[in-house]
Amino acid sequence: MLEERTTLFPLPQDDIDTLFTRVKEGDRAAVGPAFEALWPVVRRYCLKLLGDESDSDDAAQASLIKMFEQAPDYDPRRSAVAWALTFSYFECLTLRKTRKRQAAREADPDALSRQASFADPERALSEAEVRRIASDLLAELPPGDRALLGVDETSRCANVERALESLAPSLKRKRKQRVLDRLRRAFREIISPATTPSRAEGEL
Amino acid sequence: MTSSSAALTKSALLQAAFVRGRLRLATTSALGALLVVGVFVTFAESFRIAAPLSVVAVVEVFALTYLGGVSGRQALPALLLGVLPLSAALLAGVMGHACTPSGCVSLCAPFCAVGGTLAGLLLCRMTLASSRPRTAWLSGALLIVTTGSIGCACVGTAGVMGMSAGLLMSSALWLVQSRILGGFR
Repeated sequence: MLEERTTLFPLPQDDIDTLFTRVKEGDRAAVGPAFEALWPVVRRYCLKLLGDESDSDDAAQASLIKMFEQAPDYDPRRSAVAWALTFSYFECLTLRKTRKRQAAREADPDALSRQASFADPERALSEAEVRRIASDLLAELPPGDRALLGVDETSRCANVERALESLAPSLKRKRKQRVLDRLRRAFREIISPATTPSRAEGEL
Repeated sequence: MTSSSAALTKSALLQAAFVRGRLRLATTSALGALLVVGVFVTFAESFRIAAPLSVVAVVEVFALTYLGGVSGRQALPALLLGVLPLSAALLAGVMGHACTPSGCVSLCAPFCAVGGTLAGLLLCRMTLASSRPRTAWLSGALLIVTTGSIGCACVGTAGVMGMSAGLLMSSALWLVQSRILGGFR
């Protein structure tokens, strides 16, 4: 049991503290080793809190970036590991809340617009127009991109599914990001009065 | 994305975060330095000389804090030590001249020398205990001379020379004394 506990940390905690004190002092060479020492601990902690590999990777990375950004505020009398885990805890909480909100939005996408339409009919009308433009743009996307965004279950054929599964998670994320960027650009061009819709359609 | 490129991205992100942190710290220190020298610049005799020297002092604090280490840790304290000769020079400006039957002499240079001596003693006390005394002393002395010059330039280079001489002399004395007592390794 004791052996298992000691292997949780790639370096003794005192060494990690010393490394992070060097980072605090502005020693650029200590950044890499400090990260290497903290990464497995933080990642394991995030995995325990979130239970998802890719989410825990994201949370661990974001929390360590925040920690290194605030390195000058580190108190050398305290444990760097404990400090890192504090950052990770809050990062995991934020990520969990974001996921929860996303899930709620996906479960009932009209909830927000329904609330708004009761309050302001004019706004509800313009929101309906925006929604119509968005669904038109989504309809123009290739089936692979639609499946990637998860907007249209009917476009999911076996080939598309296989192609998506073969992609690495990071590539999938990047591709999704690119599709969303294109959609955003096209959407902006349509709703802005200076440009014509044909140009926006051409972009897709 | 391969694992090596992922590691490279992570490392670049971390380095960027580290640099952002250093920049934030350096900016805070530089703002503090600006506040301190800004107050004294308003009292300085010649704004045209004092303003560029203040800018240099603030830039030095920013650069030293950004680089970190012993020099970065003591950048602001060294600037505050530089306030000693600076305020001595301003005091000399208020007191005017010392007149004797043979003629009148400006008090600026002797006051600057006294301020420099005091600052040198305190700088030695501060730096010789640190892990890299030479680096710490050099960066501290640079800041003291720059900050002190804001006021000591009141009589041209003589004031600055007086302050530097005081600083060097007191540091040498401290060094000799600590070597004799075995305090300096």
